[in-house]
Amino acid sequence: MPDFYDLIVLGGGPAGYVAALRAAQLGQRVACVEQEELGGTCGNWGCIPSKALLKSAEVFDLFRRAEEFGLRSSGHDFNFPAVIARSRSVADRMARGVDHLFEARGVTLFRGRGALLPNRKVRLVHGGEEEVLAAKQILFATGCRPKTLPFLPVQGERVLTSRQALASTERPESIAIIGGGAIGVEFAYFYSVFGSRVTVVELLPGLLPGCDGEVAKALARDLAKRGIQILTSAKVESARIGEKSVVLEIAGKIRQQLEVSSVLVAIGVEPNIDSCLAPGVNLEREGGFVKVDTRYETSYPGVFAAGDIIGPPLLAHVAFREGLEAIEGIFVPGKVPSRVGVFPSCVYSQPQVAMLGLTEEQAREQKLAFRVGRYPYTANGKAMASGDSTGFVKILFSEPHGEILGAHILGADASELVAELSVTIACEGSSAELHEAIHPHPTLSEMIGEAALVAENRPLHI
Amino acid sequence: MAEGRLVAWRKKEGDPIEEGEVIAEVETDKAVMDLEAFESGVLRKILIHEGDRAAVNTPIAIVGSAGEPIESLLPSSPASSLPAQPRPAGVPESRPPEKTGPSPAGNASAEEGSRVKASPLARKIAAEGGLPLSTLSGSGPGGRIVKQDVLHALAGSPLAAPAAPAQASLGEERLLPLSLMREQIGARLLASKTSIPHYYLEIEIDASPLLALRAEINEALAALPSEEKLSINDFFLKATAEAARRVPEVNASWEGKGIRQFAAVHLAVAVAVSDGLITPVIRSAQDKSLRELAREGKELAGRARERKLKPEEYSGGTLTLSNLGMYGIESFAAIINPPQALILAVGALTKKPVVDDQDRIVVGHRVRLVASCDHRIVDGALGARFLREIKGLLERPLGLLL
Repeated sequence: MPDFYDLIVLGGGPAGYVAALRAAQLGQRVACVEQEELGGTCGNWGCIPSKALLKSAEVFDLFRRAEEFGLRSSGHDFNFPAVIARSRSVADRMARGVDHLFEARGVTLFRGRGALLPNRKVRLVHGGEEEVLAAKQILFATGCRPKTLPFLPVQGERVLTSRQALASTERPESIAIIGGGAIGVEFAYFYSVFGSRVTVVELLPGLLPGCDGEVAKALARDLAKRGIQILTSAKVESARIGEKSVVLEIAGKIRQQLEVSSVLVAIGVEPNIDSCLAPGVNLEREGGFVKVDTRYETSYPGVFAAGDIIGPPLLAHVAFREGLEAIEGIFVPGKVPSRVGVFPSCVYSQPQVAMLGLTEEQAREQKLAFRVGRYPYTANGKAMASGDSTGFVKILFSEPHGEILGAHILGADASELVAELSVTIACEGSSAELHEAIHPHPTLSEMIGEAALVAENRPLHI
Repeated sequence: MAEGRLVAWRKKEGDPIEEGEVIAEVETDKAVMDLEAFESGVLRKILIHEGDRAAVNTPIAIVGSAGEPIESLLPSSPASSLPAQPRPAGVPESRPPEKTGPSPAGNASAEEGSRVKASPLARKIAAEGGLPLSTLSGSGPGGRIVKQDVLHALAGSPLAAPAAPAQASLGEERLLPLSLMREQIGARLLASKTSIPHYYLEIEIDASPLLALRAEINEALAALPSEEKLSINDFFLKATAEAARRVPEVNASWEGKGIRQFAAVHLAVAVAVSDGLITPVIRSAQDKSLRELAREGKELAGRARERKLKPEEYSGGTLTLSNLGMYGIESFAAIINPPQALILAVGALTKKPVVDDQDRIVVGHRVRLVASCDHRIVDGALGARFLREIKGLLERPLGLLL
């Protein structure tokens, strides 16, 4: 007789662990199956440890600018393995935090490989032992893993994905980063601060595909100033992996060979499906991801899915929400789950990028009537005082109501600033509410109110 | 509000029109209203004819200059009630503009009188479309009206389209689509009856002194040049307003973190209309004389039946009076009109044997009153005090003339 639960969650990443906690909070008997640490890619191999690395880079970068602030420092240096070690310890702390939450809420954690069986059962394999768990409902939240290129298999210190890069204690002399998305850009900034020669190779014509063009261009200019080489509309066609280096054959505006000590493959992710299904179980898919209906239910009745596994946007905060919506749809009477609509996304290089809603290009394409409110960091007192003069706030407001269609911020703390716009959109506020709300002075947030005034042709500080 | 009916054109094709001039009458779900021209020009072509219905935002006519070619603006099927493509230049929406746009401070809603929760964007779009927020139900968090609700209402949802006027016949099962008014009555009263702890107090009034006084007053009024006449109900209006002035605790509303006690008695009066019910409001009824209340009550009820009330005339009530006496109903208990605390139900005037103060059985004139009270606000003793005030006022009715 298998153990019987109200809910089994397959995968302890952002979608899975939040779903498990919420279901337990709703009084359900919940089990979660995870083969590694709780927290998933985000907590262990993504968002959190990469932010720890980037903070080290930022601080080191600031050391170099000491004189700008009237400070003298000498002999500042870095200890790369210690930088990596700090990041790992932060990730471990986060994972332990989720462990404690599970304990406190009474979620039963099964460590091991889980595979979905028919009839809402899960086969758990752990250390050669096998066990079958059964539940009234199952949430499939197995997430994604980095995609690789066939001619560039992951290999030691030479060929890495973000996962190996986060753990590798060897600082590459030079590195080619294939893929100019968020992960590629963050690692480009990180390695360049610590002195690696960095080349970013992006297939599309600009960095951060899907980002507002103006922001992407400004970011590329900034990264280039740091000495990062950016090759756009460029494709890595083949690679020769040697003992000490990798030689890439790149076809772009010009055909070139690039010899680097390491390659980071950051071309996106692919879903963990097949390894998580028992033979004979086949969830219906769409574009490679698990297909779900409006209630997050898969083609198997009683089996729900949420998070990266159901497709883009592949973001932890989207997964959190999806996990919650799916669970509340199952256990809260009358709840109609919703799919994620407008969501922010952020890149934590310096300068940071934060975006929300439509880009200017998309707004034009949709033939929307809109105004742009732009405000530069150079016109903000706090930014100047802090020495963060790079970047701008750009907000798209609809005509005639001033609805916020999109917001794009390049600069220091952009990821924190964008939250205000996310809330305003959720409340259906407009440009009027943005400038009527009093922003504390001096803060970067004043730029949001000023951008709204700019859009109404009545800026005060510019 | 999803669609309207064009009641009458005041202008014909070829007539010059001025901005602000009334060009037609349109009927919404709650009222018949004058439609003013938004621009000056010549009424070139009427697209929706008298008596026809049209979805909100459907062009109803083309306004332009005299010789301007308009062929490109003509929809393929002129009387179509489908939302048409781009609105021809200068054509007003099939919705009259209302000065009583929702105010940011909070607008009163139709039968509730509470603050309307709506997003800034929803307010703007509704104000622009002349759509009173009080006519909408919100789908946002906590029933907040969001942009989508306003857009749906402006665009017209198929559900809200009234049924074709088919003859009702037994033996034929039909699903009648809900009118907006019916939808709202359903939602509001269900919420009231299921979320407000109702209890009921009944009292019998000796109406003989009232009848005698009324006869005397009506005789005097008949001698005046006006055609005024007071009904029994008018005395109930006055007595209710005066009793609420004396027992202000019942003139209140439950607001979760507190009980709001209103500074004035805005007396709502239930009026049956062709396909539902509406409660026009007599403002500051406590300060009005019997004749003023009578006049205003009749006027509002008349316009309610013609569906010509403005939104501010049926919103913001603090106490409701409902009378089914004219149907011979002796007594009934009404459902509280939220967010009010009390509704008073007036039954029919009946002749019946009663025991007088000398213990004789005589013919008496009696009216039964039932107060439905929200126990969160009005405890039994308080409700009883209110009814005792009303009884006292009605049984010594000269005081109602002060």
